[in-house]
Amino acid sequence: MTARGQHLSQFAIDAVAVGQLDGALRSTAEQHLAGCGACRDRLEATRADDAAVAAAVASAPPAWLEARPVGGPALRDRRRRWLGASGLGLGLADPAPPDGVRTPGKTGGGGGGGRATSAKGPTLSVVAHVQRAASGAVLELEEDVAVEPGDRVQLSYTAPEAGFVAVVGRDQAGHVTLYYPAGGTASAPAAAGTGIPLPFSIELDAAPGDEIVQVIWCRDPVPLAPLTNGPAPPPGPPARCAAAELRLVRSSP
Amino acid sequence: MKRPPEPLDAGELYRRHAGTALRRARWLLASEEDAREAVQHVFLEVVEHPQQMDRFPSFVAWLYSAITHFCLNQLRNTRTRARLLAVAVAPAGARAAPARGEALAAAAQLLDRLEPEVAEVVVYHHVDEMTHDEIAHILGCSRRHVGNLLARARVSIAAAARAEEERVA
Repeated sequence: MTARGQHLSQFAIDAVAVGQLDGALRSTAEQHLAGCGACRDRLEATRADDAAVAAAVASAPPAWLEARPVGGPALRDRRRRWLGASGLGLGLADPAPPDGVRTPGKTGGGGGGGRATSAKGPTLSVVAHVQRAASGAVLELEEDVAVEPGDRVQLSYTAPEAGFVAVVGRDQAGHVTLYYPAGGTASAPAAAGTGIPLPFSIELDAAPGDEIVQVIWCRDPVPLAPLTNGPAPPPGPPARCAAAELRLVRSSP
Repeated sequence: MKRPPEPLDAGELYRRHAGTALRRARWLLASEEDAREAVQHVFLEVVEHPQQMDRFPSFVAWLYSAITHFCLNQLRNTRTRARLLAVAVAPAGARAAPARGEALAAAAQLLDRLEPEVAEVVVYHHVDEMTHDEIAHILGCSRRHVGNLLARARVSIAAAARAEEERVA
């Protein structure tokens, strides 16, 4: 991070300001910031600049961008093989979950959205939305809601604290697909909040068989390779992580 | 239907990241008008071609890359390049411009000889002074690949220099 100079690059400052620097880069930046007042000042100035721009945008959004969802009327088209869906809940495998996080039992086949939660406090969960290819209607997925090829699916999560997320799918043949993040070697930063959309969506194709999609949330970045390698289903989320399974069921012809 | 999906609301992304985009564009283009044009362009890209973001580890990484590409294309524009050279290089001759201006001008002159990915890395390395780790993060590649791209840039630059020498001779 500072190998080429005495201070952080503007990219590092920008990424830290919006919480999008992860892994070793984040650690290096944090260490540098702890000992560099000049870069702390730059970070604060960057945050102030961002806040000023955000306020200006909020008060007068540009006409060319106002009320336009990404991808136009359709959701993003990136992935494949989602052939029906049921709901999902996000449960913690960590013996020491964050405050207020529910700790469900293991979710399994057959769906069961948001089930098996037990602890008090805000819910840690994931919601899927599907946009129908035929009608364009958008539905929030619940149990046993069948979808058709061409439908598009988007996941949103609610998490009481910031962490890192990965999404993997496993079809009936045992093939594993890394849905998120695309590229990289570790799970991606995920902010705390309610109904935060994951930055990808999936267009369902006509591939046969069910698929299990696992959403994994961790306090720290986890390597993706162990999540996607090997023919056997992942044994469960890594330590200090939460996980949930979404069963994708092909609708009957 | 309970609520519409809000997967990547362009307005929200713009509210959160327009500041970053504007700083980046101003830094590279040294023109408020052109910087605002660059910001508008890349956020419209978000709306119209969101799949471009798929290979990036974060929105900020994509934003840096998108702004950089747009600015490089702008610098390819003769009019813009001429203005850049006038603004950045002439003062540099009087030792009034920062090294960034010289580096940008040099990068601009090389743009037509470099592959887009190589040109992007040249800007990150020589203009932004990013580390190989940071460049690899943005590009979603290994540090070795970054080194290879910079090596290719050096080869291209050397070849261009030899060609220019031969032309003059």
